[in-house]
Amino acid sequence: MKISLNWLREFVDLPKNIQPQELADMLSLHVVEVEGWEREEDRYADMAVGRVVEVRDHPNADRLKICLVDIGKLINPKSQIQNPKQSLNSKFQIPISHTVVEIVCGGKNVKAGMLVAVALPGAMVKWHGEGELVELKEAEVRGVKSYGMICAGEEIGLEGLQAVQPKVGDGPQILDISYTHAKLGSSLAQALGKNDVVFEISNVSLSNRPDLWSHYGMARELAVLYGCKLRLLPNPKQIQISNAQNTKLVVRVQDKRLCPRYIGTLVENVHIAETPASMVKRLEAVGQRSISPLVDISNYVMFEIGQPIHIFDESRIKNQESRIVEVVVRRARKGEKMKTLDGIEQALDEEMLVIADQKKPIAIAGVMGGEGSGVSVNTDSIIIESATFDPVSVRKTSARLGLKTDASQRFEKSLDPNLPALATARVLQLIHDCSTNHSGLSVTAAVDVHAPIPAPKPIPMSYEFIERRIGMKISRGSAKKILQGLGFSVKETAKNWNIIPPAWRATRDVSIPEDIVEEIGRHLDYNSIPDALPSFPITPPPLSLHHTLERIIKHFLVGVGFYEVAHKPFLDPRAWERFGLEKGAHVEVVNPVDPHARYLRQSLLPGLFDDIRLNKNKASTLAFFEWGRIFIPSEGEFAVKKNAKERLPHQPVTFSLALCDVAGIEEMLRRIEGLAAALLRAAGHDAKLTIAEGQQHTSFQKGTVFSVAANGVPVGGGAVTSALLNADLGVTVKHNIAVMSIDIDTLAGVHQTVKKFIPLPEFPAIERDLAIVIADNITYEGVEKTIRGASSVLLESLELFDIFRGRGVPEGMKSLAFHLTFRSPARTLTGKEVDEEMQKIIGRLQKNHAARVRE
Amino acid sequence: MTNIMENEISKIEQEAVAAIEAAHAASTLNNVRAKYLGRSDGALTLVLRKLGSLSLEERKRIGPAAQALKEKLEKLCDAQEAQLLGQEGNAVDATLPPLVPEAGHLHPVTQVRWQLEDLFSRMGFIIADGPEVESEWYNFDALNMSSWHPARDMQDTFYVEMQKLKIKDQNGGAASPRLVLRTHTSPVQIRAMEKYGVPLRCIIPGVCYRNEATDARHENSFPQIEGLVIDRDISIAHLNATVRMFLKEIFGANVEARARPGFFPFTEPSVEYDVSCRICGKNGMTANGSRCRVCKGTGWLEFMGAGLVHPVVLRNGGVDPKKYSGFAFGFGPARLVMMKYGIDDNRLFWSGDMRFLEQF
Repeated sequence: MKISLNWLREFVDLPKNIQPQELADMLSLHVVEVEGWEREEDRYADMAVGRVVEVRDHPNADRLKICLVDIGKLINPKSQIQNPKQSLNSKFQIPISHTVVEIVCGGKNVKAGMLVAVALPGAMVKWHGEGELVELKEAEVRGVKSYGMICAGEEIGLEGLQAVQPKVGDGPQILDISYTHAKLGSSLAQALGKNDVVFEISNVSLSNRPDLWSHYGMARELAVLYGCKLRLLPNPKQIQISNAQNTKLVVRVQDKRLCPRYIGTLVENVHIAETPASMVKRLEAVGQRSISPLVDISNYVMFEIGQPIHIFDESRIKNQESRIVEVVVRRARKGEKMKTLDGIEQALDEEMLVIADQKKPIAIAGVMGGEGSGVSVNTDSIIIESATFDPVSVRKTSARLGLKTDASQRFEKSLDPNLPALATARVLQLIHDCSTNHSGLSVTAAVDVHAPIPAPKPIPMSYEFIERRIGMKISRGSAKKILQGLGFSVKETAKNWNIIPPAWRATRDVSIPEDIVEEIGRHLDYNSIPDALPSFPITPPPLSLHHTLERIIKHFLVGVGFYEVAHKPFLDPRAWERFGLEKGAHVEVVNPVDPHARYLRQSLLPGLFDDIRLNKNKASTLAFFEWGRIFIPSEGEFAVKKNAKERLPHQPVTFSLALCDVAGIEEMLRRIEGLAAALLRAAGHDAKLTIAEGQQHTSFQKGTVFSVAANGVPVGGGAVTSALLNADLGVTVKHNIAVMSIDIDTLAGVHQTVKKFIPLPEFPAIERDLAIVIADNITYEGVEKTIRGASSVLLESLELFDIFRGRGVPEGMKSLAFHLTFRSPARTLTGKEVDEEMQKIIGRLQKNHAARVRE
Repeated sequence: MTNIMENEISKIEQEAVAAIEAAHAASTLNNVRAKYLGRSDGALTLVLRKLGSLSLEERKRIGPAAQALKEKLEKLCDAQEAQLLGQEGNAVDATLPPLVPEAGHLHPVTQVRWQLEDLFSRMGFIIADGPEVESEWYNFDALNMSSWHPARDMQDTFYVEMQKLKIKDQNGGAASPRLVLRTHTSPVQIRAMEKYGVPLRCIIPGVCYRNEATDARHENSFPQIEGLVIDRDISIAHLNATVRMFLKEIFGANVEARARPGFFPFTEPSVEYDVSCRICGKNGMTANGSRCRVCKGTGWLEFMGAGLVHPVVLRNGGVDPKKYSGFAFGFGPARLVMMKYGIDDNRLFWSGDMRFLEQF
């Protein structure tokens, strides 16, 4: 919302030389957020008043003219063309010190002698009144150099001014500012009186303040802040109510909840030639172009006091036979349609409130008027609508139609139901003041339909409460002054205050003592409160196991080369179903951004697979993990409300990782299993990994699916992905991908494995290496079992250090190589003892697996 | 006899040491090694072999000396060989790039979140957590956001359903959605009050969701961190002090914070905090006199919302607002990361692009 400084000054005597930033800070620190401000004259930077001294035909274009323009003593440093040539044919005297420039112009109305708005190179203009502002540069137009632009109103934000000027011929028009009699070369802003400062207020910060959607409301706050008087609105003039009975006005409000108040006023013989320049200036300052005198007046009142006004053309809504105007406030009927003022046909529904005549809707209540009932230049008889509509209804209607208007934005904040009466009087007064011909101007009928208007409820509270919540001593006098300045009534008893908020604050915003604390706090300035840290007992907070685990696991993974990633939980199951992932029921988003990605993930793996797809050409080894919630469509641990039986969906914190590397399936499986074991060990658990027998999964390589248990409790699992999935992700055939997931909610609940110290061995160990060649289909597990079974307790450990297939090893066979460690807890072993052990082991390997020892 | 042998040993020692030192090529060194230590006819080998023919007494005297010399010469040969190897073809290029062990990378938002968790943990705050699919009660009603509140519209909030929890409205009509993807971490305020009671101080980090179009500055999924303190007579002075202290921890001692009025349904009064712009130093102007683009000339950057907990919210959390008051604040750590590193597109946080992640 835009607020004009000059307009504010009509209601409050702000310091004369107030700096815009100072006022902006004042509002931001005490009232609402100011997003920025602009001096109106900045919009007209590098624009000057010039006189067209000669108009020549353009040699290469029929519709264009070459104008010689006297821009006074102005020298524009941004241009290189200076005083190109003196006009020989001009009848206007050009002092030798003046600059005359050539400008190509397409305006039909341009003629010698005219004072024009000249945009010089560097000025920001809208080409042909469309698109964004662009910086004007010297240009060559059809072979003729043009030094600037003679502006049309819409090219420099002066559409209103252009609209009231008489048109000459068909085609583009330029702005004639001869009436200003301004000095040549003077700044355009000065010549047009554009000396306002405009503040842009954040609409979001105004969401609870219906009263601040107006200059008067802002002025009220500023009056308190600057300690100056708030002027009352000019006293609305009485307008004679005629007794003529040829026309009557009937207002029927069918839904009093959605329309608590409706004032309809019939005014006849309205004759306003044009909107006063002072009013156009105010409207343009806040970004509202002038449209027609009556529309301008209604907009003016809205920006002034915050009440949206709509004016109907009486002749267009009156029943021609009965001569009666009937205004019905009702809900739209199913299938009803109406063309709004913007020319768009709106489909209405029964939830929407409309203003209708006897047959059809003529306006969408609080949003926008209808095309067929609005005022035009010929209108002389009008119905003024000044009403209060239900804020929620207006918001919903506006949202459903995608039609956000100045009116709807105000109504949806919950306007004061007392405001329509004041606004009606103000409109009548302005009509009177602007009228060129007062003969016959009369208010023929005024109908006010309303439910009882509730009086603001008193808020009893102790004064001390304010000090306790703000956290410092506050003088009673200053607190009271703030409240009274803002329109609150404050009644003091010995101990308590009884505060009655003003009607314009009582609709929604202010109702409890804490609201009063806010009024005092913000006006004093929150930053003036001395800091005071709260004090607490030194009891340590309970530890969160989730957060401890998060640190351990993430540190571990980053240490071994993993990248942490994060993904949104929305996914399209069609992309994953064929891999056996994200099958079946899901927790679904009712209103998803992407209609396909309406499901909440049940696994973190799809996100990690996407990362592999995305990064596959960036490195040969990819290692990602994610930590986050997944969503399972079954009841979980959280209740929908305290003590409620219903539960929210199960949404455990989970973590998954994916490792993609150039390695065989066997190696990748070993690596992922190793990660699982090391990771759980870091988290304080002994991991047990079990290969799931015979499970077939489209995503995973057969026989590689394993489960992970911590201290005997299943907490997750992993696998090597299938060739089908790898191909889909686009990794090379040499790559394999291994994945693993752990349910952190479960893991956090598992008791950690208790660690116990084992005394260091007293006697030395003897190590032997053993390499055997066996058939490829014999599993490691079997071999290990054989070795352990063959040897006595002397075999302390065995470590597989090499698996080899290929040269020197027959086809269909593999070589396994072990480090074997022998030790006795009681004595130093001899080589002979160990040789015997080795013989036993070899013998058993030969017997069980037909193993051959490799030298 | 023994004297002869002792002389021979000392002679071998002199010659061999000199020869090893003089060997400046691998082949020369090999010859030297063969000449004195060769298996079959090395000079010292021959001496050692002759030891067998000596008397026990002589053997005891000469044997160790011969053995010690053998070890000495072997070591000298090895050392010389290593040195020769090192010199060959300027083998050490010290300018080669270092081989950095390949560590991974923590997501930048995690790093900043941990920093904040640590800070608040040090101040005795509980780190609380809650569900992301939340009931309307916790996400809206309990937080004083009545049924007509605009944030509850479908165009602002993601509603979710699962078949089992679908509930028909009173007329038996279509299922009325009543679960949402939480729009803020504030529902955990209520859950924390219920779980821990009062007095309470906790922070709540977590991901939140809003139904809005995604671009460089807007995301429909975003991390948030919320803080809540409840005790007797908690005031704005306490809020101000806590906020200023932790902003200094995050941004450094030179950063200023300012409080200004705000509006949130779940706090009353509501306050917003800005931090001074680090680019222009709060002036709003850059060195060359133009308006600072980062803060749009205001000198301040919006950072977070806060306020005293609304009495309705306390009551809904089972806390008596007549006895207790509290403050709450919330902000986006992603925004903090963006300010810290100058990141201009928040979509990168969800991208999984290694070129982004490996910078942190």
